[in-house]
Amino acid sequence: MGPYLPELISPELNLVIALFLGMGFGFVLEQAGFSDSRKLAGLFYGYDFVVLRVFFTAGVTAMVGVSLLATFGLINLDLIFVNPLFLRSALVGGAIMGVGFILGGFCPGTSVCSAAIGRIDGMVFILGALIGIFGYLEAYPLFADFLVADNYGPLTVPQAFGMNRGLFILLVAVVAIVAFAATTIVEDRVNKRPIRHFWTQPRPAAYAAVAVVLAAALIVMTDKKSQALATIAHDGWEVKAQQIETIPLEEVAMRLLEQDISLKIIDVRDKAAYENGHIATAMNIPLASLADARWRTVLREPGKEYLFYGATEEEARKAAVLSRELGDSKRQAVYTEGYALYHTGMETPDQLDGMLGTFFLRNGGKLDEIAKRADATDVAPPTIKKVQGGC
Amino acid sequence: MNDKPRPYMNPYFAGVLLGLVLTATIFVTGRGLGASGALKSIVVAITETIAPAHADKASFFAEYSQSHPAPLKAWLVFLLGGVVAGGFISGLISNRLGFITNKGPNTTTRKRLVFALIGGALFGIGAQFARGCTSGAALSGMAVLSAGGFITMMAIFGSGYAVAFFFRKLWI
Repeated sequence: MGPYLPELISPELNLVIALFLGMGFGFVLEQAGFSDSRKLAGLFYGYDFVVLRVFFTAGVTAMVGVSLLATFGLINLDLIFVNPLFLRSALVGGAIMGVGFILGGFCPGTSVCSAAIGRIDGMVFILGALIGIFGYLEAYPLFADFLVADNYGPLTVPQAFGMNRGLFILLVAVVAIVAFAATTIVEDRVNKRPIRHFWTQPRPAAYAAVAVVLAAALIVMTDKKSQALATIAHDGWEVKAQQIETIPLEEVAMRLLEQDISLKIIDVRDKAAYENGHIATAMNIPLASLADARWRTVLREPGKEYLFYGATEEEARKAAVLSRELGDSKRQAVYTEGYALYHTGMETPDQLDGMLGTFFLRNGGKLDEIAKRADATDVAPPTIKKVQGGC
Repeated sequence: MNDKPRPYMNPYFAGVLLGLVLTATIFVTGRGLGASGALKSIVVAITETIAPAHADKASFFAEYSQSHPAPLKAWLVFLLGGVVAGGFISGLISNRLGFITNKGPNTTTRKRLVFALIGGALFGIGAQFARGCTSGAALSGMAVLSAGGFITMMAIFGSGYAVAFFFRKLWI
């Protein structure tokens, strides 16, 4: 499952990959005509909309591509770098770049591409960019506060509007297609040539159709994680919960005593509650973070049975259903009484009736030892490094 | 070479290819493409070589090393090296190599180059504020549906259209 960096690929191979991806990037930019500043500036004067076409087609292709990969479980969206939004500096920076685009006729990527085929204006633009960056770095302390103002973090547009990811992609695709159709007419008018409508050009029209169909499909297909989270958030999750076996405290305690290592106890309460006291050998995975990628290996060990318990019966059952829906181990079970009953058994077994009370009276000491041993050998929960960004 | 330059690729086809390169980049590395980051690494490297004492003093450089670990810097520079190679190969097979200045029909080469320098400087500065340029912030941001990416993109093109009229002599 992607992304494969930073951990799964050696640093040397990583650089070779960078080189090849850069080559693909530079090759396509040059083939599209982005090495010619006149073609780039054409966007702003209506005589050549090649920038708009390439840019939006690439953007929609990548949006659909990344989301499809996520839908089929091939890439984990949680680990992907999303540019954080610092509203003020994004607006000011973008506005400055827009002026730079008109004056210079390039953006950094295209200027490099243009310089690569010998265009002198491209080389001068790069020189200008280096000078600009140097000037900025010298004056950096002046902007330090401004740069971090209005921090919204790594926000995506669908998150900001509480919108379905696929629906948003479909909207962007439709806006792009309308823009293509309109600008084709503008371009032909400005250049005083007969109008060739967008939809009469077979290849572009076919791409547009494919993009719309895929984006529409993305609305209905959601990735496994969202699906699983939706399952426990909506009515009807109890039906799924009924299929999960319930284990009573007697059996939990018995198996602990027998040191049955096939039983893995998961405490899904929050960290504070867990640290305040938990069933012997239990591991803490708060329900809120259970769907995170880092727990998958923990919850997928072959031959283990996972026993979930929480503050309430509902919390325990939801956790078990979520784990099953996420495709973890096939064997989930719940213990529904929460920590309180176990705690009573350990502290004041004489308050419990019958067999259970006797059991704890006789074995409380041993359970305590097992608990201490388990706590001493606790390993830190796994963490996954998030990819560092960009420019 | 007497051969004429080959025509450019169909822009929509080029867009699909570029989108696939970007998707592959995100799939493998978890982040998008970028150009201005590597330029910044170059500026930092030059400053550290020419004026190491100055680089030590300036508050920026320490923070930069922290936020950009060496591997990331190297990665972006290799990516940019690839862009140079890929652009060159494309120019070579399409007969477009040559030391030429592209400019609008009603401007001089000198004027074009002066404005290219100013434009480059502005782009360099703007990319620092926006934490990325057209490729790093706008295009890559769009691929991951980043609100920052969309806002930066709209700011770039909005401001471009707002000032285009005043500089029309440069291009038309």
